[in-house]
Amino acid sequence: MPVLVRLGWRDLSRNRRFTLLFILNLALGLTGFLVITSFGSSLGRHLDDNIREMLTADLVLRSARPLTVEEMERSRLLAGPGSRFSEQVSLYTMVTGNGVSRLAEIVAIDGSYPLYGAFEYSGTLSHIEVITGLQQDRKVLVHRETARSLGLNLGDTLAIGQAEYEIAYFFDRDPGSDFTALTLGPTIYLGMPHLQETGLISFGSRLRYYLYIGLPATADLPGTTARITEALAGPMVEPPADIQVVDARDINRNLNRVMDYFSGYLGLAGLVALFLAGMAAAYLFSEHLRAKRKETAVLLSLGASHRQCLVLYTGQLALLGLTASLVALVLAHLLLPIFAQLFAGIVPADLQLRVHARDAGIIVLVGSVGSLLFCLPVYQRLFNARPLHLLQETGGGRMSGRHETVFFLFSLLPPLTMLLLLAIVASDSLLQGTLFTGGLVITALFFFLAATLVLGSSRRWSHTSNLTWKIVWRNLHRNRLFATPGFVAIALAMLLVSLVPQIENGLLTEIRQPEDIEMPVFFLIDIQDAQRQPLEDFFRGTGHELSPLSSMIQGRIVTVNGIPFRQWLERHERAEDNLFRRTEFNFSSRDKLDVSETIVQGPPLNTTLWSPQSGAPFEISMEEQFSERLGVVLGDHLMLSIHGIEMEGRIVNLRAVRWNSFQPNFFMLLQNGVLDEAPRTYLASVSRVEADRQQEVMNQLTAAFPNISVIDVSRTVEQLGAITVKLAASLRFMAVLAMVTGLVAVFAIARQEALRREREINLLRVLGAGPGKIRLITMLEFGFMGGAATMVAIAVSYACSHGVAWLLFDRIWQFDWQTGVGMLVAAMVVCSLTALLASDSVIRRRPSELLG
Amino acid sequence: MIIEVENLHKAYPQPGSGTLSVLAGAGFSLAAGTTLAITGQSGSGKSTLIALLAGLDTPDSGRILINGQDLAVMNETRRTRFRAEYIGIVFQQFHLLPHLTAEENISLPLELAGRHSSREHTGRLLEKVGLGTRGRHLPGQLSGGECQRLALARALVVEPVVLLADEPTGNLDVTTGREVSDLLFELVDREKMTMIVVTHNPELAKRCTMRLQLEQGVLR
Repeated sequence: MPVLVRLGWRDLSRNRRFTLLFILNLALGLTGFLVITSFGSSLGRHLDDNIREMLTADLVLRSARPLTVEEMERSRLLAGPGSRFSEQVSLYTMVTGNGVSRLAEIVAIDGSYPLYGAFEYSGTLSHIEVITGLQQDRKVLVHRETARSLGLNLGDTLAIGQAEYEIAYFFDRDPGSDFTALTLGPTIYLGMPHLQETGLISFGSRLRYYLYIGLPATADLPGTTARITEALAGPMVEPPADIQVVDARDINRNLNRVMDYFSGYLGLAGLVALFLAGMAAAYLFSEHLRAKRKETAVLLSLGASHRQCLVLYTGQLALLGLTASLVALVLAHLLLPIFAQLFAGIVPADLQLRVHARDAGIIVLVGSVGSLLFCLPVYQRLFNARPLHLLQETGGGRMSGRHETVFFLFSLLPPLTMLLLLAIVASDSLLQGTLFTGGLVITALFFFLAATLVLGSSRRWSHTSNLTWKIVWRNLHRNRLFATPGFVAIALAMLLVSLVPQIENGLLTEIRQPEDIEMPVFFLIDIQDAQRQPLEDFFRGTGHELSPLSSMIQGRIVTVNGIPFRQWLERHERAEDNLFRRTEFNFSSRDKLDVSETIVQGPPLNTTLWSPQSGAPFEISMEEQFSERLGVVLGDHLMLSIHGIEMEGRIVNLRAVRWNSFQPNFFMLLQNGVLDEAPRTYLASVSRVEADRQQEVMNQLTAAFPNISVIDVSRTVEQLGAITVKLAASLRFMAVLAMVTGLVAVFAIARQEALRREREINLLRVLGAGPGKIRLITMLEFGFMGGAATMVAIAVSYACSHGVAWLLFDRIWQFDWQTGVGMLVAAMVVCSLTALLASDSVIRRRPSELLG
Repeated sequence: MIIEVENLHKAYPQPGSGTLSVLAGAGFSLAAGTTLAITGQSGSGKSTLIALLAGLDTPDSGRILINGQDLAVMNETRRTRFRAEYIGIVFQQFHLLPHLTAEENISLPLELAGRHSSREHTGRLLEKVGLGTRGRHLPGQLSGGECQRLALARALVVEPVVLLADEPTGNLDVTTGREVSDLLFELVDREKMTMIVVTHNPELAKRCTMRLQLEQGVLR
């Protein structure tokens, strides 16, 4: 065996170009995949380790109404001895300081908050000092940046509702703020005893009540959560329950779901890079084996068995794959800090991104075993090597065509299975992984047919008087059997390379720029019935546009088709929407649909007023995705409870809503007349306010209507934009990696094709063609092959990206012809130049040397 | 007899349908220590015959007995083992491994067979073929004649019963060719080996104890 090790090692050392190209190419592909898996693992571990600190409790009861004494006592009892409790109330409202108003989240806390995690204070403040101060006096705890934005400092006063509070403390970081990159306003903490003084606890206020529970270390969290959930939904409150009980597991699931959306995309982009690398590796290795055919035959003639040759080349592959994995580990180690920067503000600040042992193990396995599997289809070259070839006058002995095809087809199964498994892991979905892999196989077959057609047709074009083109077309036709794999490989590489930016572009376009909708400047909530006319008067004549006011009434779904809502959810709600289990929703009515919504199924709502006396159910219009989550369809009956009165409605249409339009929209619109008797608040949006007057208008609005919350849409869009930029950067990071890997693949393929034609180039030189002519022929030949392959690839990529976007990203797709043209030009240039570079050393040699 | 070949048939499939018959009942016997030259026109099947004798290919029918063992009934693994133990081959194109030194090229057959290879042994062989000072050189650093001498040393390292040579001087100029053939016959004679040479070279053929011509698939 040592002789095989020596032979393998010598061979790799001697073929440095092949060795380096193989390792670089595979390492790039592995790096992308490793960075993504490491990111996912690091985040997962961080969530597992810190979830209690993020939630600040083991479990939380939250409701839109105060918990009754009985509910409190029962929850405390079920939590068991040794448990700790903390109460909290929060609401969004306008705050004013130094004449400047802005929306903020007011959080009233008691002396026990937080049960887990901690505030990080500016200076030398102690938590006891702060928490006691908040409970005793009318003081607030704010972030220094919040105070600065309002032009305030320590000791200044801040108006919240009807009361004024002293800014007494600054914090640098508050507990549970890890995933609050997108907020409507800053958080301001005050003591629970001083919340009432704001005067904001009245009808129409959107308060949220929380009871945080910290269980003893030995407590059974799932059991306790289940018992409390059952108790609160049981005999005390007939279904549906209006108290949500969530624990760390729910938060973990929810956060993971959010991150899975992007890591799934990134994972597939990483897999694209890995696939390209695998494809190029197989191509390189195939050419390596072709070049080694004579040496293999010599070994066989000297008494080596086929098994020994198999061990020799398999060992080489494993060594190359292993080295590529180690290079990938180093590269990933260097790239992860950049990845952390890209996601800064979106992921927890103290998240440590690193390559875990498990991920490193997987990548070493994928690198070494994966490269074997990827190269399995080209192993037939090894079996084609026969010592007979070494003798004069013998040319036979190749594997028969049928056996070759059968071997090739069977040997495709292991790499395809590996690809399928990796795709399932990367996308975290059996369906998406299967579609991804199936799509690749079908596309490769399609490219094969396209190559046969294009290269076969080149003979027809060779009937030209131009000698250069005649040689180009004849070469392409004559070498079509060799050129076909190159064509397919280039087409696949370019397809995958162009697919990534196309999907990315569609996604970003949708996030950033809703079409045909004027973005509002402010979004107004909590408008009281009595304030409708004064509000319209306020905006009249200012040039600012107030949208029609949308009524909003909170209510509950009691039953669906006669089945209690909770039971219905258990049967129909999608598993990944677990946290969606709320029973309270906002309802509205409107005479005509907003521009941001479109009916996609069913007729418009009946415009006549519904009357309870009619005996017929009222009509409901439901948002399309909401209906999918609930598992309801057209014609289903819903019993709603609005302010204690139960009424039955029927779903008559489904709407598609552009939520990013920031227009007042609702999951459910009810027929006119249903909500007429119920007390309600209103929503509206304001547009056409000049940028330099926005703060002034907001201040005036808050002064005139202190209870109305004004959401600064432009600020929110700005926040969303900042997050989008970060996400886009991470997407581009992966796209660039896929592109680089793809270009390395194209380089490798073009180089091997050029080397393969070395003899033809030599022959032309001997026959008198000058170096310039040969360079031109080479460039045209490879430029055409690269261009034709890329054109087919781009056409397919438009269709594929449309399909993938439809499947993964809610039908978001954007036609991007510039990228296509760019790719086409780039592919032609890269293929031409690469071929030129590869053949240059041959072209520059003297014909006499070539003859020798 | 060290080699007995009886009624050997071999045909190759041709594109389309039909086959090309290369050997059609070839046969001969060879005593130990003799040398045989096989001549014939290009395409007459000389190399096919030597491939069958080396166990690199199998006949369609007939028997090939070498040292009493029938190659025609062996599977590929057994043929490979047999070849490694009893047969040495010298090719026209040398077929040395370019990344191994002269010493390493010589010891390769032994190592592949899992047998011990000492530096003294390879050194002695290098001395025998006149390359005593070239052990650490790569084939690329040797001349054509030196490469063929090296290939000869590699063929002899397993101490074969039969040496098969396929146009051993075909790639060399006249003077070098003569030097190599001198060496070849000297070593065969000294080692008491049996040798079969396939050649177009009448001078080389004349030096063999037996000469057969391959015509229309049979030896005459």
